[in-house]
Amino acid sequence: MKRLSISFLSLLAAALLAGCAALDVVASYGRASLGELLAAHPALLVRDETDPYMRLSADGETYLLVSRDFGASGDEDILIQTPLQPFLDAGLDESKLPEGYRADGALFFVCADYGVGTGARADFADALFEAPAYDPGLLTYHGALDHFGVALSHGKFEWAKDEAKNDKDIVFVLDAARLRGLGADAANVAGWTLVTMQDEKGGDFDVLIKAYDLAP
Amino acid sequence: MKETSYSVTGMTCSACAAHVQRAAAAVPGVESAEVNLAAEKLAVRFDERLVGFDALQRAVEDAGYGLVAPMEGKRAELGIEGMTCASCQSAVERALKKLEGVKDVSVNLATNRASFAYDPAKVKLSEIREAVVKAGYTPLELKGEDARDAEREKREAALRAMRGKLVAAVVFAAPILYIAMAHMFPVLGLPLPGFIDPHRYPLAFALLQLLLTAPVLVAGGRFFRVGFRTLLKGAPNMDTLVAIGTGSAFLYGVYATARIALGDFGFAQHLYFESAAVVVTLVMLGKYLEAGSKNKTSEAIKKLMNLRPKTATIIKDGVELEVALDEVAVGDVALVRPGSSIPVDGVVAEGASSVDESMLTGESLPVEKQPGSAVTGGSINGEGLLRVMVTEIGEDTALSKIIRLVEEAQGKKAPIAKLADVISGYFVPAVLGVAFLSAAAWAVAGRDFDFVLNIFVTVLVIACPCALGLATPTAIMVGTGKGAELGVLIKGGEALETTHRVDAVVLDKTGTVTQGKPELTDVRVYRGADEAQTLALCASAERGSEHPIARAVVEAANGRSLPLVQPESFRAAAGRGIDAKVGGRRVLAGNFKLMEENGIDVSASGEDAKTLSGAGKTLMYVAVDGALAALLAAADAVKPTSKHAVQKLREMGLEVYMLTGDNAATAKAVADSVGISNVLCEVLPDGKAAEIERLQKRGRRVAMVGDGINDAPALVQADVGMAIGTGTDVAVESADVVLMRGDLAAVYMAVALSRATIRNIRQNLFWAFLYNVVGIPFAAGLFYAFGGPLLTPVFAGAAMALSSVSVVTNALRLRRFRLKD
Repeated sequence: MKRLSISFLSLLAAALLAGCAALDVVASYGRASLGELLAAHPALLVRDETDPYMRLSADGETYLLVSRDFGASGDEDILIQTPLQPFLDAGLDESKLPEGYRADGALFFVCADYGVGTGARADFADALFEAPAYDPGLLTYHGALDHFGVALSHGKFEWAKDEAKNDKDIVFVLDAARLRGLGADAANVAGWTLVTMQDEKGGDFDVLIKAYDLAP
Repeated sequence: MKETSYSVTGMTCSACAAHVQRAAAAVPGVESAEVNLAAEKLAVRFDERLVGFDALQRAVEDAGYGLVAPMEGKRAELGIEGMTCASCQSAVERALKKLEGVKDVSVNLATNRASFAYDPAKVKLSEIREAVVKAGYTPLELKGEDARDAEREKREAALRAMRGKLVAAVVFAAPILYIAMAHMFPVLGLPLPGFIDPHRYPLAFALLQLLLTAPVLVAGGRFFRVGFRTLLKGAPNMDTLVAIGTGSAFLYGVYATARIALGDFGFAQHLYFESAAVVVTLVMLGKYLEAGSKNKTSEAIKKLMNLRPKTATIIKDGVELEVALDEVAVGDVALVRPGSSIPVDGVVAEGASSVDESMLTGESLPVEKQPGSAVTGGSINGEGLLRVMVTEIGEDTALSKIIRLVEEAQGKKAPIAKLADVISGYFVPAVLGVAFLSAAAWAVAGRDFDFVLNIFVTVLVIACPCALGLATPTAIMVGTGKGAELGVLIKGGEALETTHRVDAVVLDKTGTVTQGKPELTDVRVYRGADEAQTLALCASAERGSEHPIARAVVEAANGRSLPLVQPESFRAAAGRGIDAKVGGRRVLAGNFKLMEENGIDVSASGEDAKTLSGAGKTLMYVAVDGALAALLAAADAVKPTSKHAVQKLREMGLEVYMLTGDNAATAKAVADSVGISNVLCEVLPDGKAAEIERLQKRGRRVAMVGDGINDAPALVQADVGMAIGTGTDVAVESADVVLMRGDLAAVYMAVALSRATIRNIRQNLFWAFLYNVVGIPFAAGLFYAFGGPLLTPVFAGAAMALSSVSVVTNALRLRRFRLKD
């Protein structure tokens, strides 16, 4: 029995240490599903090779910006860009915006820094996945909605694992509690929907979401 | 017909016991077969001409279990000095193998030991040692073991192996349980390492649990091997339930892991590995605790066996020799030093001492011994040095008989146990049916596969019938063992069960209520007869009689140094007296009936008879040559404990009767002195059984307590026959209960113990049934359908282990049985 126990423990340790990368099915399926989604909807991406950021948008108003080279984008490697006015109308005090937020003219940015990256990326999905490469915990899978997501400092970008079975194929998510703290009435931000979600520990938290169903 | 018992291996529950019993009983030539699950024994009665051990073994093995061949003779290990090479080893082996009665010889050069089996009836250990010496080597210390030792060793080795596997299972199951709890109950806030976060790394989460579960299932592999084997033989048992339940959970977990690997991350929420691992571990824990408790229940036998010393000092040609106990022979003189254990049964030849017989009889006061006193092997010598002439050795000693009796008693089933057997036989298939039906019902009701699997596994796991099978035998083992400690030997479960229902106790007078050693107190002579001459005549006539009154007369005559002669003829008339010819004269000595039948006028003794019998004395009329010559009176003192014992019996709600051949006046006087109001007097020896039957016809459940040969029919007729242990072998053989103590306190102890044991059995059955009766509908989701809670396989496993443990623990409480005085 001792031998059995020792063998299993060794096997276990070896398997876990050697196979960590292969075990990360969330990352491999997440990358694959984003690639499929972008391949099915090429119009989501704005093609401009001179732009240091790759841009994704479903409505031409709210964008996900992903730096082509995290090493050259300072502390704004991935951003959500959206019109500022609805937030101002809801009471947002732009003078109080902390790190991770930026207001620039008519635009409101939610930013995140993910280190210096591993070099320039030409593919949107590859560039986005620099973030979980930096910190694996930034990549999430939400079972109830069947969504993968990449977390930003005060928000998230999510996409459907299987867009054929989902009515929310891409979703922009903002931290509502933070915005409330900045003076905004989260329930009344035009174009955004206030939703209460449950975290892993069963606690509730509020988010503002903008979801798009890309099905024709 | 041969009646014997064999050890059975592989049984885990009462369903197994029922299968083994059926398999053995079905063998042609077998008259009866009974399995005791707790003792792991098959008691079988069969015609040796038609069937032997091999056929029985085949039948039991075909049923999926094992039958252990009886160990022939004994095994021993002898140290040997002087062996230096392989040819020395061969020489010793050859020397031992040449001896008749020695076999399975194995000599180990490295350890300098020879181990072998031998038949003590064919070869002595001294002869074995001599053979080694003749071969040119020196025999050293000997280590012997008999079948009981070998069995005990095997049981302890099995227990150690179980413990090792259990520890391994716990080591792997504990982390799985932690992971499952952390995942299922996030409100507990138990931290999980990031690399197995089920949301982020679902595959690592699943694989880790799979890898931790596999060794647990290997450790508990027995459930799967036995469970599926018995299922394939069409005789599923408790292991089948565990195997199917946990096997299903594990296989589903493997399937779920595969689906996670294929991208269905939702399966991380429904793995069931913890159900498989924790349930198997809990079942193993329950089985381990059961096995440990079973060892404890046979502690009584262990204690009795430990009373036997390994060696004895015998005196041969004036020299003291220390020899192995097996070397002692009948007729040897053993030297017993103060404070040491008396090695074998014998008679004191020289010396005086007080001997502590409490381990055997339960009697706490030491008993004085002098030359001529019988001593029992296993009792402890007091302060005097004794030389004891050996009268019984080996299996013929009282201690060996007691051990055998207790072992047989523990193997015999009580009627109440047979009910549990019948239920168990149908239980497992019924549970399988309920599990499938419940799962199907919920599936039809629209529940998802997860829920349905949960129901299926939980029903299988919680429905373990092992507690039911253990409820009775464990209590009986502890109860009979406790009885043995207290000097009450109950010959089986049936006797135990009947004793508790007794509502009337019939006590034989002489030797039971009284000391059984009457003394001659009065001699009245008539018609000018000479007192000494008449007494001498009567004593001469009575020399051939075993009756206690006769012995009192002879002792009195010897005490007066009267010359006694051999009678020319002697005839005993049962229940009346004797008719003999002494010195040409016809002597009649006996009771009033004898005189009446022979036309002897006893009116001259009328007043004396009334006075003496009114004083509780037993009368003996003596007629010489057809005329009344004397009236003798003997007083048999009542035992000091009798009155208190009768009072206790009445307090227990028992009707107490006294049965005697004495006349009414004598009988009443004795009965009054001990508080007995129901007297059955002037009963002839062959009328005792009829008196018992008369009481039984009035609806009484009768216990008869006696000690003499003539009590045997009454002991057999009674619902419970209790023989006073100091009595004759015939009485002891005929009785259901043997009271090693010579006093009546043992009677109410026997009844109290039996009531306590039956109460314990009922408690055990209640708990066993409760777990199953409540657990199964709970597990099937019946309460859940009405808004109640749902049971999970893990909790079902815990409940199942708890049920076995609680039954065995409750049975062990009997070890604390004490009589409240």
